Amino acid sequence: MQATKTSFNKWALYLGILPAVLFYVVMNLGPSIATFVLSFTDITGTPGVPWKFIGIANYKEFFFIQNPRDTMMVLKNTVIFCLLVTFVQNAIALPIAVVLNNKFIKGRNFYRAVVFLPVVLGVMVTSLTWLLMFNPTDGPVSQLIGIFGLSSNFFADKETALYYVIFCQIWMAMGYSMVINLAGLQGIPTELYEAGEIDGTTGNQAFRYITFPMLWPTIAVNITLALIGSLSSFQIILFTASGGLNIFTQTMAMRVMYFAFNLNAGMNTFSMRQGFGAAVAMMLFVFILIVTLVSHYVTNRREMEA
Amino acid sequence: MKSLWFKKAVRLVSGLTIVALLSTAVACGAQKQAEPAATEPAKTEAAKETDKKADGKPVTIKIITWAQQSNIDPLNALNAKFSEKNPNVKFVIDSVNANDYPTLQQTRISAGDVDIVTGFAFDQVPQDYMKGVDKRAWQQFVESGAYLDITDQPFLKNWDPAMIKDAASYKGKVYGINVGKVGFNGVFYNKKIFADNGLSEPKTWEELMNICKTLKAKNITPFTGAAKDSWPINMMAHAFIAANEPDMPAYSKGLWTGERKFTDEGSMKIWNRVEEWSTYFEKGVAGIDYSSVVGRFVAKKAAMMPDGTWDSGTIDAAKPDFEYGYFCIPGDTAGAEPIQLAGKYDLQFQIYSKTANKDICLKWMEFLSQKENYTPFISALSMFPTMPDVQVSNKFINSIADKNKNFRLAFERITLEPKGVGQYAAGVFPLTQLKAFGGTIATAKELAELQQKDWDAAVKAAK
Amino acid sequence: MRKNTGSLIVTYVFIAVLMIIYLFPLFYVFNTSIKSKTEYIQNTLSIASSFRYENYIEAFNRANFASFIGNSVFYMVVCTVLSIMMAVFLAFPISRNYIKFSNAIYLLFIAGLFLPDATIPQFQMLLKAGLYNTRLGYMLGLMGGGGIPLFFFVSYLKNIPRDFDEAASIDGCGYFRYIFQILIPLMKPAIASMAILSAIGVWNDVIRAIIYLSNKSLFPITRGLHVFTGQYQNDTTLQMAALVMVAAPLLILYLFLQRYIIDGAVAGAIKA
Repeated sequence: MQATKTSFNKWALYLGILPAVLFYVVMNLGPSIATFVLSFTDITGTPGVPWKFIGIANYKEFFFIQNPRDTMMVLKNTVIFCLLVTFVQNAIALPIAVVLNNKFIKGRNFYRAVVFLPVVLGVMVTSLTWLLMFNPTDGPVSQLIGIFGLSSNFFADKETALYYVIFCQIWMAMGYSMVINLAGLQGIPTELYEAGEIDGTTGNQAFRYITFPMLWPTIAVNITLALIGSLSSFQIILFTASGGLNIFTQTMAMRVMYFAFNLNAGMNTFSMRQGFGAAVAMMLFVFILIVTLVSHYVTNRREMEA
Repeated sequence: MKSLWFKKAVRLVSGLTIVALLSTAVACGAQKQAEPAATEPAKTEAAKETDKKADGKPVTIKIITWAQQSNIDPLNALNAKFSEKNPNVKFVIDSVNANDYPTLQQTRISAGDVDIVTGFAFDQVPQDYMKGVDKRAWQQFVESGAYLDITDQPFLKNWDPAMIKDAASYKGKVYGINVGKVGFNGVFYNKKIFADNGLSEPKTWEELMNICKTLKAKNITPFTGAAKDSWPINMMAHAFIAANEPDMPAYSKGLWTGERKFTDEGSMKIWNRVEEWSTYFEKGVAGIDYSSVVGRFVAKKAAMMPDGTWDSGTIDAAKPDFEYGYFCIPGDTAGAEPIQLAGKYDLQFQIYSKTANKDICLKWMEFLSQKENYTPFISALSMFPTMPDVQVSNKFINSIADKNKNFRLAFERITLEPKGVGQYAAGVFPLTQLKAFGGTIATAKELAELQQKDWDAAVKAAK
Repeated sequence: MRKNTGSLIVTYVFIAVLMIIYLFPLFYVFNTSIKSKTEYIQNTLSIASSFRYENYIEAFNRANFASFIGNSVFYMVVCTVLSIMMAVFLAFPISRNYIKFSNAIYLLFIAGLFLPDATIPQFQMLLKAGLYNTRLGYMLGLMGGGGIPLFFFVSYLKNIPRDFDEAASIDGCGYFRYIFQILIPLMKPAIASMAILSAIGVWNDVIRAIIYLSNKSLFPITRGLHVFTGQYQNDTTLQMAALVMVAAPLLILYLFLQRYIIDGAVAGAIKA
């Protein structure tokens, strides 16, 4: 590979990239690969404890020693969390973007800003806000559904807690999908709509035959981002549905942190099993890789057809 | 347009930075001013004397513990007394809520940023018949050499040898001092509600159920509980086991070897009683967390609250004139004595082995080991003393002294679960899996069967 | 696109519902934060009778927020400046292909997006290096090398004509002087977007702070909030006052720099 000629000092150029490359290799790339290595050890988080290579024992434990039904439940939670977040988030973000892209809507900039706000406020603020809203004894939502004679323990209800967590995640991240869609919408030439209007297309037809196909690449980006993001996110689960043995809201990413750093382990006083955590992280990595490839394949095919 | 935005951004960021720097500076200044006042207690003549003798080098001892006012206040009082005698020594107590404490403990030890580590007893030791159980965190710490070996310290002889052996030793070496025992096989009850309805502490299971029926008939909710946090309800399984399985170590061994089942007659008796008991809780018990349950109890939302004896301090703090008592979950027949407590060794102190202030930490432990210092400390803690012949002045502890004549370890401190065990046997008896406590399983029978299945699978896999 | 009245009404109802879902929780948090404790217990939904700013003072003092805010700003400034600088110095030669293996290096950084999570070995490494529970260790763990700023800058720089480079170097302008005096001013909008996004990311981080820091005096604000809410689980009004104090700077930042934030987020997503 030949570099383009420049009269800048070569050494200065290399000196300039050195910190970034060094930092990246030492702090990101190296550790990433080391995760694979550590997954074959019994290393703990306590310094001074000897550790050794134990072959594939961690993977064996993942598949055979850990209760298979619980492992399946964690996988199921991961899939539910990932699919629901991805599809609901995009299914809502698309109409919102279309509506808020409409010049006839007064104050659309304000509405956009409001929907995007939680992205900026972050996971702690979102979690604490919704913990307050979903307070089972006297929170507003509890009082609202009380009017209809319903009641719920929300995050404390083992069967439905995951769905409340998913709701929070979507509330927090939807603004992100929305603004990406908006950017995509603004890239659609208005001539297309004008031409359509002359041909007498209705609003629905315009959406179906112009907006949607033109926006598809943007939606594909959105879907990929949401898939990867939701598969590796665990913060919202950690801060809303906490509790030591609560496997009902545990996803793969949460499980990694649970074993490796005792996060969400509650009063459980086991030591940090980072070797096993690394093995679970590797399983998650494979999972994400497969999902990304499949989604890439599917969205590409859709693009071809369109 | 764009550069205007940029200027605004720069101005805002620099403004924020200045504000932050100022506030940090103010905070630092305030701290510096506050420190001497807080850490140098009024010097008595005797203190001045020791001051001259001590090398006078100021030392800060860092203690970590979990945030429970009933722990921290007595500890502060003890430390103040120590500082009075050793004016160069001051203390910093760092605390987080109990759920986050294991993380704090782990991280501080990893960082070497601690002098005295608070913990629980060295119990739940894997027995020979247990295969492939995960190591407890304390065991890991001891093995990594994080705790100072204090086997040869002369002050150990002041303490109850049973405590040294059962709570603070590992492989024949002593690493800590456990200062108090607690019981948690019972319930707090509202004395006024009991008196108003002509009720008294039950001696048998039947009596307890009659109390519940009487209260329910009068529209008083019998029980409240903190099922949201799981453990406050789950630990009550051990109350039922203590009442119905007199030989708990044998029960534990039987479950591991397969001689006993969670579905056998004895276990089902426990489960059936738990199930009956679960029907007397307030609606929405699954949404109540541990930090608010005491508030509900003193607000008379329910007549009784299952909890450990350690929480009496919280009740006193929540409502100082509140009249309450404590009784243990009873079994079939009434004995001459009230039903005895089963529980655990609670608060334990270890010295971080790599501390730079080893001598002072040892001196502090020696100070704690003196009866005149220990007695007010344990009285304020509201735990049962682990030092022989100590007369505590805690009203609640004295009121239940007759239930502490024959202290036993609770089942959860004796047994351990196999590695990777499924959720229906996690924590051995997970009561909160029952629908009544916010779980998903409708009946105790179903749960017991699932529990046995999960247990068998894990025991088999561990071999 | 003309709209008839019917669909316009439907649209506005849709927007109204959306606004309630997004604004009511935030209003409710604020309302709770200015109530007295008894007022909250008596009726959680009532509008606060007066502005009880004492909640804020109490929460601020009890949580030791001054030190947390100082830490957060420190982490924010250092991490943002360093990561942006590193990204600029890396993005420029790559976008111009001035160095050998430009594409390969770029690909290496993109690959990072698809590699396994690095947290566990990173933790072990910092532990071994004695950087656990230090400001430096935390910031090393927090700063992403490359990442979205790199991709964004590379594509942004392609729109800045190469003529500038050549003109500068012919004038005898050194490389570093060129970057600081000419290139960075030209990249202002891009840098502003990325810097704000990175600053928000640092302010909002709590997981790394849980994993890498154990000493309270080093905690950033979000971690401080986490500890505070854990300790005062019963004091809802105090908790919410603390929450508002954490959210307020973000809100103000957002009000002023909304467009940069959104532009950055969009660009980051599409470029990546």
